[in-house]
Amino acid sequence: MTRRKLLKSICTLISLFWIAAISSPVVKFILSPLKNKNEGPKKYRLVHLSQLKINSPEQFNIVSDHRDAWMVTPNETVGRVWMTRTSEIAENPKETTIRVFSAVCPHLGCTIQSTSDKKSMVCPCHKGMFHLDGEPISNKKLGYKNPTPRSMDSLNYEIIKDEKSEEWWIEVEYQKFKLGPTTKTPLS
Amino acid sequence: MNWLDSRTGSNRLINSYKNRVLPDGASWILSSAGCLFWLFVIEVITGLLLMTCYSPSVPSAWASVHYIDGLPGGEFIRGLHYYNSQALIILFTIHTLRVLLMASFRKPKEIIWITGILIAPAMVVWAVTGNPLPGTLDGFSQINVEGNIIASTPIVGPIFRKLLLGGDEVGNRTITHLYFLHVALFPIIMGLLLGLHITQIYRHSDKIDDLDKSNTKAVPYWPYQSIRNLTTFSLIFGLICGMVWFYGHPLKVPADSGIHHVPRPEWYFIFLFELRRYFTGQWEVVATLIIPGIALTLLLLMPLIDRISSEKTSKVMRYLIVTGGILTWSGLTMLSVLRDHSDVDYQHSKTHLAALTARVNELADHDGVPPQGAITLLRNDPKIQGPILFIKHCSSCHSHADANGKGIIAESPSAPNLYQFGSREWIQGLLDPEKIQSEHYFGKTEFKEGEMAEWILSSGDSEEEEDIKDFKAEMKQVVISLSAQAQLKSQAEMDKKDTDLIREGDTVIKEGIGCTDCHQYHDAGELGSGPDLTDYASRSWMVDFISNPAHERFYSDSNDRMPKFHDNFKEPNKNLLDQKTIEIITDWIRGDWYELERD
Repeated sequence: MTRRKLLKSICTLISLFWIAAISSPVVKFILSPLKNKNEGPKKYRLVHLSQLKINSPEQFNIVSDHRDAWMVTPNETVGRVWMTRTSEIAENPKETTIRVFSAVCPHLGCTIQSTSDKKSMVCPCHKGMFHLDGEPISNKKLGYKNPTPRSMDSLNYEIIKDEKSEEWWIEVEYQKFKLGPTTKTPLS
Repeated sequence: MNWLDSRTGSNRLINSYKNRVLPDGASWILSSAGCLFWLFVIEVITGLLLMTCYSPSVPSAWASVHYIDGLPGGEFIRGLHYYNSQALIILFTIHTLRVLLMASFRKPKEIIWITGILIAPAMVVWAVTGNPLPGTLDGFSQINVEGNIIASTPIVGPIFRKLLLGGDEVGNRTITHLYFLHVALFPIIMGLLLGLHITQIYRHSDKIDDLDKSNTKAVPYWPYQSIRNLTTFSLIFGLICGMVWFYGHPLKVPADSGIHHVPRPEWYFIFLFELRRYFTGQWEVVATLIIPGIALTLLLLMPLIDRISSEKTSKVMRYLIVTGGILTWSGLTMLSVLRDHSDVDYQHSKTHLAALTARVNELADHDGVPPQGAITLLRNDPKIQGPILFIKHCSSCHSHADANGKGIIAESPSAPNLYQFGSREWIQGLLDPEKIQSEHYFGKTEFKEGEMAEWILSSGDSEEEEDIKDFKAEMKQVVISLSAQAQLKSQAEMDKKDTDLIREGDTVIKEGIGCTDCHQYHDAGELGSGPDLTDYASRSWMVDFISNPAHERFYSDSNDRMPKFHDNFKEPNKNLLDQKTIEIITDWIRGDWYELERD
């Protein structure tokens, strides 16, 4: 090996060493958003059972501390749900049937609204349409392709009694789901 | 000059421009290139100016852009940046189609063509990264949906989305990421592509020295083509300035996921938006990725395709691509625009947002933007939120409608109509024997047969006409005086004028006709049987009343069905309404909000 060749290889080695050394923090820094883990399901008390309207869907906000990168905003709306009571309040209030859906459209995540006649649900972005029970309205009935991949995402809930005030509350387990798949899959 | 040239070789640069020759003569159609260059320069200059005041974060983005609009020339510069970017997109498309038709991509100009074709999508994406930066509702919805479209790409999609948004949702890091892309990465990419594009053009253009002397058509680029370039530029840029001047580009509503709206992409993307209608579910990727991908590859490979096909096929193909492209783009765009035009929901959302846009700018001008960001301006505005909150929380029992029934009508009215609550008219009606038992007041409540109604119906009755007259005069004073307690904005002038009457009325309430037998009024009477009349219908009185109508100060045990909206101070989350919401509803009922004075 000549002296010149040796010097050339040393130059290459030094460069490679520093590239390798610096690339680890660089890549880690760039990929940092991937580390952001989604919160699992969390329970929220939303409304008195007696205040929930019957057979007419109503939207409720999920209010919680909202962390956005370096900022935490207290009492921010972090999600929305649609709730409908579908039966009279039962003697044992726990047996009252209600529907609870996430307002996030399973297509591309816009907020689902109720139509002005309150007889169906619609996503304003790409006109995904749903029946009040959350099932997608058929293409045939719509006259165009319903863009939604699945029905509205139903959420778990519990009807519970407040220890002190003896009021019956609806407690909803709010979580987010993957957009796109034909079956409901929690976002992890 | 020589001094500089001997050190930097700058004359070579100047001469390459000076010595450039157009063998076929100057023409207007060639001016698209020079014109684009100057529009690009304008875009960079306005962009750099905006950077000096823009602040990239969720709470500050909108506020800083609103601040820019208030600076001398600020609104104009921002408008230029906006319209100019779209002019660039349009003109670049025309430029590309022109080059395609003229087959100017042939050997040895392939690199010019390829860099040009790469600049086109880069420029559109560059513009797209800028749209959400002002923190508007439109901008945020667009990047949210765009992010989800990216995420629908198989395998790598979700990762790309997270890297773009800086997490799972549009937020602070989305803005810093987009800012980085918009003012750092894309300028570098575009600079490199454009640099290569232009140096290649000069490398392959004819020079004055190697020109065939017999070519009589040939003219130097400078000034024969340059004057055409600058004329076209002046026309287009003049048009842009005119649009900025006459239409402007008002800063839209700040992002708030609580505002119902129907988002749409920018006009140049509407064709893709329409295309997605025909490819749903797993086929969506065809519209978002495969078709645009194929189109781009086809264009990139144009020099190759041209070489292997005959002159005639190439020509037919090029004309087909151009007409097909224009027809597809405009056809899809038209379809979507026409559908939206007849879509009631969309039109409604558009006018609604226009009203909110005007309002939020008014509020920001008047109050300034608090540190939590512009989002709070509309959220805390009684004028906007009042009716919404009233319908949601009050209108199952209370109406808020004038005598003609205009306003909010309760689903099943079972409590007083709160239209102009606390005003002289309202109180006068309440104290009117003919009205107190009507639906407008106590008609549908337990108080219909209550002590107050009984008192109103029985008082003032007398044999003596003189007595009745006196009583009526006293009641009038009571109305004026009690209504002054509310300190309504709409009555401020009347209250000021009637100071003496109000003072007399105070004495009547305290000592005259027996109000303080049941009610407390300042230092007279006691709490316990009827609502406190001290500061009756004032802001603090109403907030306290709504929070807990069954409080000793108000109805105590005789409270009818009105819920206690905020009486749990230990666990504020368990209340039906928070303090702020109650204040907003109160301010709205009292007609107390900022209104821009128009002349």
